[in-house]
Amino acid sequence: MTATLLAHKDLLLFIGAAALKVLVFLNGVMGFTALLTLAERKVSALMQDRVGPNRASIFGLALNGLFHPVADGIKMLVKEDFVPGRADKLLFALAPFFALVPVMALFALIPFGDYVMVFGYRLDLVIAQVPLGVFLVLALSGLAIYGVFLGGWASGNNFTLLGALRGAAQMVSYEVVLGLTLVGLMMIYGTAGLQDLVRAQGKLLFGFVPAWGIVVQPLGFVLFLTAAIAENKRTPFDLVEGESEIIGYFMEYSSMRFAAFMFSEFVEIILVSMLSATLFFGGWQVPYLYDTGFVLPGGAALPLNHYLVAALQVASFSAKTVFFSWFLLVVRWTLPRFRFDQLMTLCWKRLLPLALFNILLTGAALLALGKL
Amino acid sequence: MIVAAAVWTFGAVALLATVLMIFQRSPVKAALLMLAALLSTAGLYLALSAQLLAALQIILYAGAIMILFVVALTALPAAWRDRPAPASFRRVLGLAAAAVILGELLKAAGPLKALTVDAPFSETGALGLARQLFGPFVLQFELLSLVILASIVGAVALTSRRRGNV
Amino acid sequence: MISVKKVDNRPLNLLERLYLPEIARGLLVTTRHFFVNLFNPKGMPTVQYPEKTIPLPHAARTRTRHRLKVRADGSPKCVACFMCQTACPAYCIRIEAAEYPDNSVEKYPAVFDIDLSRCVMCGMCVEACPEDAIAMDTLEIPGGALTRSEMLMTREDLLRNLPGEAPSVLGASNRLANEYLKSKGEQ
Repeated sequence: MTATLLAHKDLLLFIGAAALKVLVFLNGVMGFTALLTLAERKVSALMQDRVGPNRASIFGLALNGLFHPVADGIKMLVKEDFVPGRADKLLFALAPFFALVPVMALFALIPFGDYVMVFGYRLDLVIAQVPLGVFLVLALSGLAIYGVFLGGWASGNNFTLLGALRGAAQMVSYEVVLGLTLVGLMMIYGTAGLQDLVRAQGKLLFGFVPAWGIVVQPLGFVLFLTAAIAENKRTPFDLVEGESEIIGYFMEYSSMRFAAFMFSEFVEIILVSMLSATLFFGGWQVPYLYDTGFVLPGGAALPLNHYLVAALQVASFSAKTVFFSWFLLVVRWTLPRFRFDQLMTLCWKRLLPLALFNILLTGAALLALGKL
Repeated sequence: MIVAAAVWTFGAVALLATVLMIFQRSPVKAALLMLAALLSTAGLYLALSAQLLAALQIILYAGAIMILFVVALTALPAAWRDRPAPASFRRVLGLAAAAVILGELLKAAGPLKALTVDAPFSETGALGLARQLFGPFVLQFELLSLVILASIVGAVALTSRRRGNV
Repeated sequence: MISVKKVDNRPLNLLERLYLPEIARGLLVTTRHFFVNLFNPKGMPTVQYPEKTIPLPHAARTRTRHRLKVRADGSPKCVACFMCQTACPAYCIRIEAAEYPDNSVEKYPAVFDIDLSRCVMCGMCVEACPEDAIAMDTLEIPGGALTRSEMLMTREDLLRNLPGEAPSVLGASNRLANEYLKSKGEQ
C-alpha cells in the first residue's frame, strides 16, 4: 500500500496541491462575492448621498450592515421555491447550474500569484496552468449564455423568453468583440497562457515603464472592459434583465434558484475584475518587484524574503481585483441604460471595427519594430 | 492511465448523449444533448492534449452555433407543444438514413484503426496550425473569408430589403 | 411665478459623441460623491429614523399620527359613534362602545384601537368625526417598528391633548350631556 502511494507520490502531491488551491481560492472568491452584494448596495448608497443598509444585526451588533449578506442568504434559503406550471421542470432546474458552473470553472485559469516554495516543492499559484488560457476563458464565458437562455425558455413564459432572446443576442455579439480585443495582447506577448501573459508583463519598457497591457494596448483595454461589462449583463448593458423595469429571463425564478442567477452575476464581476487585472494590469506583478526583491530602475535594490515577495504579489492581485470590482460598481451606478438598437450598433458598428483596427495597428507596430 | 480513463469516459458520454439526442422528442432537449456531445468531444480533445481544438470546439460549436440552434428551435411551434408530436413514418425514414450514414462512417473509420499516434503530444498545436494556415494554405484561408463575407453581405441585403417595405 | 429653463439642444460635438470623455466626467461626479460621503458620513442628510427624528415644522399641515382629544374632566371626547370606523378605507380602527353608568345620553369608547400598520394616513376618520374628537396633528410620523404589536395604538396611546391645548368643553353631544346632567341636578 505504502509502496503504491510512494510510486504515485508526484500525482498525489499534485492532486493535493490542486485541491488545496481550489479550496483556498474559491472560498476567498465566494466570501468576496458575498461582501460584493453588500458593497453594491453600500457603494450605490454613498454615491447617491445615502447611508445604505445598516440594520441587520446579530445580538444588537449591526457593524454598519456587515450581516446583510447573511440575512439575504437565509432569506433566499427559506423562501418558497416556486416552479411555474408551464415550465419545463428539468431545464428549469438545470438553468441556474448552466449560469453558475462555467463562471466558477473560469477561476481555475486565473493566476493569483507567481509561485511559492513549500518544503522544496514549487507550488504554482494558479489552479490550472494551461498554455491556451485566453482561449479557454473565451470558451467557458461563451457557455454562460446557456444559463440565460434556458432560464428564459424553460420558464414557459413569453416575457422571460423575450428576455432570454435579448440576452442571447447581446452575449453572442459581445463575445466576438471580447475575443478580438485579446488578440492584440497575444500578438504582443506572444503567448496565450494567462500565467505567461502576467510574467511577460513584468518586463520593463524603455527601462522604467512596466510593460503592462494597459501601456501597450490602451484601446484594447477600453474595448475589453466595455465588452466584458456587456457579457456580464450589467448596466449600461442590462437589457437582458433590467431589474428595475424590463422583465428579464429569470422572472419566474425564486428562492435559491434565483439566488444562483444573482450570485453568478456577482461572481462575474469578480471574474471581469480579475481578468482585467491579469490581462491589462500586470496580474500579480508589483512594479519593480522581482523574485529577489525590489530593483528600482536607478539601480537601488531592496532584497526581500521569498515568502514576503509571494505575499506582496498575492496582495497586489487582490488589491487590483478589489479596485476593479469597485470600479465596475461605480460604472453600473453612473451610466444610464442603452436602448437595444444602440446596444447592437455599439457592438457591431463601433466596437467590432475598432477591435479589428486595434489588431491591425498592433500588427503594423510590431512589423515596424521588427518584432514579428 | 488517467488519460486513458478520460478518453474512455468522454467518449462514452459523447456516444450516450448522441444516442439519447436521436431518441429525444423535445427539440430543445435534443439540442442540449447535442451540446453535451459537443462538450464531451471537447473533453476528448483536451484529454488528447489538443487544447486549441478543444477551445475552438467550445467557442465555435458550443458557444456560437448551438446557441443559434437553440434560439431557432425555441421559435418552432414544436418546442411549445405540451406533448411531443407522435412518431410518423418519417422516423423510419430517418432511421434508415442514419443507418446508411453509420455504415459509411464505419467504412471510413476502418483504415483509422491501422493508424497509430507516434508523435509526442505537442504543446498546443496553435503555432503549427497558424504556420499551416498562413503558409501553404493561405489562399484557401482567404477564399474562405471571402465566402463568409459574401454570406454576411447576403444576410444584410435580405434583411434590409424587408425593412424598406415597412 | 413660472420659471422657464432654457434647454440648450445644440448637437453634440465630436468629443461628446465619442462618449468616453463624457463617461469619464460622469464617473468623476459619482466618484467624488462616493469619496466625500465615505470620509465624511456626517455630511449626509440621512436621519436614522426611528432612533433619531428631526422636528417637523409646526406649520406643516401634514397628516401625522392620530390622537384622541380629552375633555377637561379627563374623559375622551369620543362618543363611540363608529363614524370613523365606518369611514376608514383601510379598516384599521376598532371601537368597542360602553356606557357611562350615570349618563344615558352618550357612550364612550371602552376600546379604541388604530392599527398603524394598516392605516393609510388618509384622514377620512378626522373628516368623519362629528365630535372633532380625533385629530392627526401630533407631528409624529408612525412606522419604524419591528413587530406588529408595536404598531397597534390603543386608547391609552391615543388619548392626549397637545401641549398648551385647552381641553374642550364644546361639541354637540357634550353640550347636550351637560345640559342633561344639569337638568338632572336641578330635579
